[in-house]
Amino acid sequence: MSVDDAHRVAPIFDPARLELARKYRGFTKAELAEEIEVSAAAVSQYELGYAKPSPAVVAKLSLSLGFPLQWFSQGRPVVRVDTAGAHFRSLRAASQREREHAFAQAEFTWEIAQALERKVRFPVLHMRPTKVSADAEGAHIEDYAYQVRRAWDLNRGPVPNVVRLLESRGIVVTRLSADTRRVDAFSYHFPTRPVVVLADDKANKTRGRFDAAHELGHLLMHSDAEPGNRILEQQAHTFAGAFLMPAEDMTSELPSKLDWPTLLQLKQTWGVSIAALLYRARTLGIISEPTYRRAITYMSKRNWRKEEPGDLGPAEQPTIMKKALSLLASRNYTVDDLADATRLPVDVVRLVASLQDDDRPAIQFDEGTVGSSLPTIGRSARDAQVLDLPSWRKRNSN
Amino acid sequence: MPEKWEWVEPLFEFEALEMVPQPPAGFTPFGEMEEPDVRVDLLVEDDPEADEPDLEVVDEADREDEANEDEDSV
Repeated sequence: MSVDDAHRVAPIFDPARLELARKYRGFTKAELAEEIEVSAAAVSQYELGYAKPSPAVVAKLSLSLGFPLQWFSQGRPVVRVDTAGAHFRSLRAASQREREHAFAQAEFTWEIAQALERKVRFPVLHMRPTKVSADAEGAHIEDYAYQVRRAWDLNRGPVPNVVRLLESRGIVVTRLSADTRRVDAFSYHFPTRPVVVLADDKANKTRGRFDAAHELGHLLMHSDAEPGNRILEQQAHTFAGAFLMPAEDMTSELPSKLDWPTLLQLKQTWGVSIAALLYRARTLGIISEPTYRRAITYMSKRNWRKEEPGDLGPAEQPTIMKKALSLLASRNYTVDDLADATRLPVDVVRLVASLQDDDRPAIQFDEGTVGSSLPTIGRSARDAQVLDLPSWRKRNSN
Repeated sequence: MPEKWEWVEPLFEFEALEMVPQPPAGFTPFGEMEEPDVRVDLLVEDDPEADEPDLEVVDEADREDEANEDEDSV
């Protein structure tokens, strides 16, 4: 970062990009104002476009937020998630800060996918959305899930890797950063492709698989519906259950009594939780409502609602962007180039592209720059190795 | 304990159960199935217009039409 860069960016400062970066890093306006030593009102003015920050303030924003200077300059307008159009679940438990962080990640995901699609061809979007009314019966959704399985050439039996299945049909999938577990999965129809954002739950394979199927249900059935409706959530749940556990197979597989060993075996075969199997058994009328309730009570008493027996290993991970970057390596195109193309920090690109578990350079602390606690590598704040929202904030509070 | 609860108590330990290989069910376990192929191809040249990739909205009626055409051609 040079003084000249800051002088170049300041006159063409984009207010929307500041707001997005701030929300992604989890700062309130007041917190950011304190970081960059201006008033909270000044930050509001910058974000509303009523005032432009000076070059010195732009440089501080870049360092404090860990976004490259170029990010803040005007360019193609950032496509924002319309919060009224995103299908969220259990968001009441999440804070406003976590929600905004999650939305920002979805927006970055789409930006990165767009940049990659200038260089690679992703799978064609293979979806046939339908409109499902709020009073649609479960049988209708069951039938629709069956049709989707057929259209996607799924044979009878379990669904293999659900995340890859969605990716293979043109849906972009990403996982949220660590410690945002109160935010559940959600999905959003961006202009060219839908994006599914899964919770960071790397140790729970069954949850990720069911969440991905649940979001597929939203994308297919509720593209025009107002999100957040309990009925829609129930419909998406029904879809996920039918998609992962088709009635024609499960009717003969599921036990009519609470046969825990069989349920555990079915979990291993179908890649769904025991809780989901029980719910499915109730939906299909294989077990009664009282039996279902007793089973859930039993599971709760043994803490199985939080940690079921029969661990299936790590969660399924998105691969499409990783694969694209692997192909592009033959043209010497790296994650740094992708960060340059999107003007995003490398840590964001790595997270979105599910590269965060790969080898990465060690963090260094450059004590000689503005914001002396900022861990940086290389030539600019773009390279800052900021991993996730809480650690970013924690670092800044130290 | 009420009679209706008697069935609940397991007669086995899950930890021990997990150590014993289970006989295969009627279907291949999901983890042993072939994973979907996520096809990504390099473009011959960079596509500056790639903001709007081709989208194929699959319409069941179209699929049926295509199938009928195939049958007609036989």
